[in-house]
Amino acid sequence: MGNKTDNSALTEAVFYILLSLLEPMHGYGIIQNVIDLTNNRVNLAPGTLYGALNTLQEKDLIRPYDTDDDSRRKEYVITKEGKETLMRDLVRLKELVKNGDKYLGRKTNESN
Amino acid sequence: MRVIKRKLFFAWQFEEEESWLNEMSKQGLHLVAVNPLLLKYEFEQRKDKEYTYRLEFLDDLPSSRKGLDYLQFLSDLGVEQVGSFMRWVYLRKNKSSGQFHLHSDLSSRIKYFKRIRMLFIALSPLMFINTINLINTYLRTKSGVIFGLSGLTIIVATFFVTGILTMNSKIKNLDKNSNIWE
Repeated sequence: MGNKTDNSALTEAVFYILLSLLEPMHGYGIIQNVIDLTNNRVNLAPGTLYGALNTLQEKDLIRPYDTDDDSRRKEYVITKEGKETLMRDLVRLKELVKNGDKYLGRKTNESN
Repeated sequence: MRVIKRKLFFAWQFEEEESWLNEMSKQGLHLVAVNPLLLKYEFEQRKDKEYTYRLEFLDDLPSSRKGLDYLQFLSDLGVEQVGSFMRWVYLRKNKSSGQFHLHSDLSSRIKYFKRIRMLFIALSPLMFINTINLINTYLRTKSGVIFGLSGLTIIVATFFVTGILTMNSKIKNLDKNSNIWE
């Protein structure tokens, strides 16, 4: 594992990058995939994506994916540790949604 | 047709410089070469295109292995390099392909601003030492040339301090937001 503790939150950009890399993808593919997943809401900027890919690689959450064809575009894929990190964050996000629904739902009912 | 314009931007005015280049592109003048030292900007005149220009300050020189790797990554995403100056690169992307920013979240923008601030911080002590040496020499020799040189280094040192202070205030603004948003 990297040096971040188990219960720290991933940024939205990193969450979607890791989610995209469950399948091997290059930079352009990731950007397009995230645009599709979020209905155009999240448009990863190239500099941000590049920095995130390098850091994720340093922390062994993703790795380069070698293809047979000699395309010069680098592809990446998630590692086992990356997948574990993603799952942990999903549990955190589910709790967030559950509590948000519970409290905001209740507030809305009261004001009605 | 090529058009040459001369304009002065200080290193901390990179956002103003971007705005100017984007405004020029809107008017049909697209930057194709640049030499900031000579304040020289070379434009190509075309009405059928429009680009979004961005300046980026790299961790390393554009010609280094890391620099080339980043520029290749950008080029795969349709971002082309039109020029460079030391660790600054001038980038552009076709406007028809949508919005173009280099940094989409706060922490990546803060890092970008801190890289630029580091440049000024790294160069400042050098200028101050030079200035002190020159003033000392002037006090001994009373030479007019040395007096002129001291004046010059004081001006440059002032530039660096302005650069640091400007970047500080930009970073502080973003930092405040980063307590709440990412």
